[in-house]
Amino acid sequence: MAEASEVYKQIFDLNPFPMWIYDLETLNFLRVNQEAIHHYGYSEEEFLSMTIKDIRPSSEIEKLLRAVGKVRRREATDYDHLYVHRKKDGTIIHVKIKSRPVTFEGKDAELVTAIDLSDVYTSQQSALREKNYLEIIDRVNLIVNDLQRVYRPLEAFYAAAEFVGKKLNLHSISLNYPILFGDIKKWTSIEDGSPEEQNSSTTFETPLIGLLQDYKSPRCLFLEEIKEPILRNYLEQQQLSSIVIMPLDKDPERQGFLLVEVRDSSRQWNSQEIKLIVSIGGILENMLMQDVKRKKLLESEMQFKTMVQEGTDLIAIIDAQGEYKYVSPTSGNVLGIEPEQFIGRNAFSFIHPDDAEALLPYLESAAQQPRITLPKYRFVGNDGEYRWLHTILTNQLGTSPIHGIIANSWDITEQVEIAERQEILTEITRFLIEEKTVHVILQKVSHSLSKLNGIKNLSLWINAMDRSKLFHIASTEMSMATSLPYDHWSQVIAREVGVVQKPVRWTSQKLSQRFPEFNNKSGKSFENLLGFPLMVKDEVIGVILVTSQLSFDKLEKTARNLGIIADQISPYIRQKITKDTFRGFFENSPDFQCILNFDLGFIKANKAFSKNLQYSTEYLNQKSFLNLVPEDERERCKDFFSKILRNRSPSELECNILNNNGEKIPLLINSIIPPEQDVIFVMAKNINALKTIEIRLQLAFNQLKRAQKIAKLGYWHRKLDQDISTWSDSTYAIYGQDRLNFIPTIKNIINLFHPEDRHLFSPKTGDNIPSQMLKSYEHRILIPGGSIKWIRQEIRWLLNEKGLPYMIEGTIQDISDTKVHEQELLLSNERFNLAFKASNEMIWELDFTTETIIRGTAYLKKFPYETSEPFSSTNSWNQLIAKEDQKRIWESLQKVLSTPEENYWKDEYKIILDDEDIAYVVDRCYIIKDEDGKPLKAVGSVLDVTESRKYLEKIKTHNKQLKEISWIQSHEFRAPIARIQGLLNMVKWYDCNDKSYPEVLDMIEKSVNELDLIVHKITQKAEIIK
Amino acid sequence: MGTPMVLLIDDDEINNYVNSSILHKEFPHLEIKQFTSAEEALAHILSNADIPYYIFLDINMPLMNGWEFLDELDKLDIILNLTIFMLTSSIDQADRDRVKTYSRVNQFLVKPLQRTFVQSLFNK
Repeated sequence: MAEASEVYKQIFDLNPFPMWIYDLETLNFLRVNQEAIHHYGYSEEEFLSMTIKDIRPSSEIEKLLRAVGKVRRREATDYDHLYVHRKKDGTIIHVKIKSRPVTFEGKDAELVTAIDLSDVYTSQQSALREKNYLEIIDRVNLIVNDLQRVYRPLEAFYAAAEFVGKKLNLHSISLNYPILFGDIKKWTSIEDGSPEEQNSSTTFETPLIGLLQDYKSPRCLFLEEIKEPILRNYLEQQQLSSIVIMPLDKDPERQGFLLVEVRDSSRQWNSQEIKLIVSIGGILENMLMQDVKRKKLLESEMQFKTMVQEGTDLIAIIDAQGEYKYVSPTSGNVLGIEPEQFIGRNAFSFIHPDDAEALLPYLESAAQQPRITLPKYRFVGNDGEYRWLHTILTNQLGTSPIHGIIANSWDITEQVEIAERQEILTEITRFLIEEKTVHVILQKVSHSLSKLNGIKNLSLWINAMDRSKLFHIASTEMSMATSLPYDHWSQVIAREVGVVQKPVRWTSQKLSQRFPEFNNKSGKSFENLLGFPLMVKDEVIGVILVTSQLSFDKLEKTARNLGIIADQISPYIRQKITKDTFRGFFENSPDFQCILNFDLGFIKANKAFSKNLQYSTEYLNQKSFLNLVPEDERERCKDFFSKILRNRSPSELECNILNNNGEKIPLLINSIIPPEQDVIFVMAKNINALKTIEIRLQLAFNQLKRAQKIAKLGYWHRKLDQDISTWSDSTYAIYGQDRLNFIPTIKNIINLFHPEDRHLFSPKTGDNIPSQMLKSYEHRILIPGGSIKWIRQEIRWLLNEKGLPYMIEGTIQDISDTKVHEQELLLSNERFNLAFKASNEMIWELDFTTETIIRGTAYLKKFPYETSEPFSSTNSWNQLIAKEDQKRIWESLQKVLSTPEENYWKDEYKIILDDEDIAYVVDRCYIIKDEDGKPLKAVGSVLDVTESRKYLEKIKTHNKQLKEISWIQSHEFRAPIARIQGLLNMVKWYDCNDKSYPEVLDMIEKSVNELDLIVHKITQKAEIIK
Repeated sequence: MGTPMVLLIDDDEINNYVNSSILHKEFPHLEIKQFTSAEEALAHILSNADIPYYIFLDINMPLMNGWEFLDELDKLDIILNLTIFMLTSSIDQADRDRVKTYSRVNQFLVKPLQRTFVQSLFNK
């Protein structure tokens, strides 16, 4: 057994094919032979540490496991096809596997023989591919041929590209062939893009196309080997790993390329594949070249066709009388009349009657001359509309087989219209230049416009400056005045055109429905009405209304022309209106105005300028502005203008101008250069000196008035030789008088003074004043209603050149409030001082700023204290206070002083006198505190209450006695009396009782005695009170 | 509930005698009891609580005055049928004011007791 085993072992080891045994459970190699080690490149140790999975590429693992599974289940395994293995160096080999299950060292295992058939496999694969590629080419040929037959080269490309792309697993195929396709046609794999993208047009950036175009032979490029940045960038952007470029350049005039793109980074290209691409490119290129040729042919065919059938040239053959012998098919397009309809008819039956006469001589001469050109004429179309034609007649009467005159005609309606329009525009432009007033211009414009075909009446409306309404400016017929321009409805219509800012049309029927008055007045004078806005940019400057008998479709041409003309003339009309307005301003301004050129020469001067300075227009036109400036001011004036020219911003200058008599006129000059114009506008104001002063005075006066108002100050003045003063408003207000009812004569003013103050007013005071120029008084005045005001007056005398006073002026200020306060203060101070002296209390005043206390003298005789001393707990007064009270009093006062909201203090204390006697005092004060509650001042008084204290004691005693007496009276004294009354009642009512009189009398006696005792007791009490 | 009884409480015997005479003369069947001490009167009321009483009460009495008597009544926790008249020689307003604070007192009378009052009282 062991021997046999050894034999097997040798067979195993020496076998020329790689062999191994692996564990079916773990897939570990259990044994490998020498050939396996040699072929696969692993050492024995390496093999034995690996599983059979490790010698396969990962894509093969699944297939392996399936096969192992089958072996485990003892099912038949399929080893017919090749397996892919990987050697240690990474080489992929295709092997045929032979195997059988064995038990090795007690384990379920399989013995495997691997026969490397890689070479066979590769050649087989190559042949297979070749076959495959041929099939592809064949197929592409079929597709292309099929679609080319029906002239669909683009579809052919897409179909071919899709077929090839799928077969070769490409990302996209692009075709650049500019002669046929303006942009690049691209097929994209459906897996890499959306369905819409699959067949699409795209554009490459020009540099990229240039680069691709430069490849003169097919090339395969991989991203990693591309250095050129544009191309590399393109590949990166498109996430491409490789491209194949195939130039399409068989025809040197038409070059393009085919671009094949691949995203799969593992994709390799072999020469067979490149060849395939080249072949397909060739097929496609051939197809495209054929298509180009076909197109070219088609084009030239088309050109010919178009020329004869769809051209605008009319070719006709007529005889010498003008009868049609042949008409080209183009007549249908140009005139709407089919060729057959002409045959047998005379050309003149189509020509406008107005033009026919002029044309006859030409036809006659056409028969004599070889060639003649006709003047433009109108030829009726199928729609009844006349077209303008230009015709050349060629004499072929003698030429066989024509025997006629060939008429080559062109429709020149458009050109004629333009010319017509141009004519009107030229005319209008002339008016704009020649005529001066806007009104005349517009009148003429409306006449020119009305020459357009079909216009019955035309009216022109211009927007008011504020655009609030449209003014009727001009119309072609005076009779229109009765129907169109001034009527309400035409105003409304014109305004509507202005609002919609577009041409508008109405039928007369529509108008009469809308405006009842339209029917009454205008009847059926027209069929239709057109409205055109005159627009400048977005602004409507006016409106043109046109009436016509023609229908709208017949008016089409006129409407078009009118619209175009309106657009063209609007800016000029607007400019003219603006110019007119400004010329009005310029000419009629009372200020001097002129326009200068940049050399300061006069272009224009207004009436005020030439009239006031007495220069003629002719004179000024030859002069420079500087000629009018006095020599010494010329430099300054020159600087001024050069500054304006430099800065182009408005500026101001004061200078003199010489008039024709050489007199200096002071002017304030404002100057400006209007935008985009080469002129200087000069506006000047005559400012003679007096006027300036007046202006300044007015200014100063206004300021003063304001200042006075703020200060509640009144002002007045009076010339000394006059009786009436001039008062300012504030002065009237202070006196409480009314400007209308009160005349400030000297007498009246004196009467307003308080009688006691009238002595202050002396009209002659002025005589001795000059030495004392300013004086001020405070006095009272009487206010209507009986009240009195205090005023302060500051008075000044004004001197003339000789130093003599000629005027008196003054300010007056209401100081009543101040005065009243002053008076009150004075009074209260006085009262305080009196109280201080007269009071039988001791008044004291404590000033916290100086920490001093001042005391009245009232108690100086009673107590020894200082009348003025520092405020302290140990000062002379505090020393007088009884020891037991001192601390308490000081603290209670301090407490009130330091409590911000308290301002009153009161306390009672004892004063020890020299003779040890005691005085009782009540001390109290009011405290004035600042905003923060800090004391500023305290005013108090001390009252000696010793006497009243003694009285009080006495009264208390008396009261007590009186109370006792009262009690006795009401209680004790009444008791016996009531008893006696009861007894008496009893006797009276019942004539006695069971008791005898003596008994009752006893009882009364007893009561009387008791009463006597009580009387004694009261008398005793009363004694005490005395 | 028995027949009403009149109690005259005054330390002044003459007063009690006069008042008792008037009551008796006017209403001979009226049961009248005189007390010179308020305490005794209180004791009587307490031992005969079910009788309705008409009480004429003086204010100024030794030991227990009229006010004290009233205060004692207020302290009691039993239902009594009392009609009380303060009968005093005092014309002090303070006394009149004080009476108003005692809700038990029906009226303040100043001595001497008037016949007309007595008549009106029991002739209802």
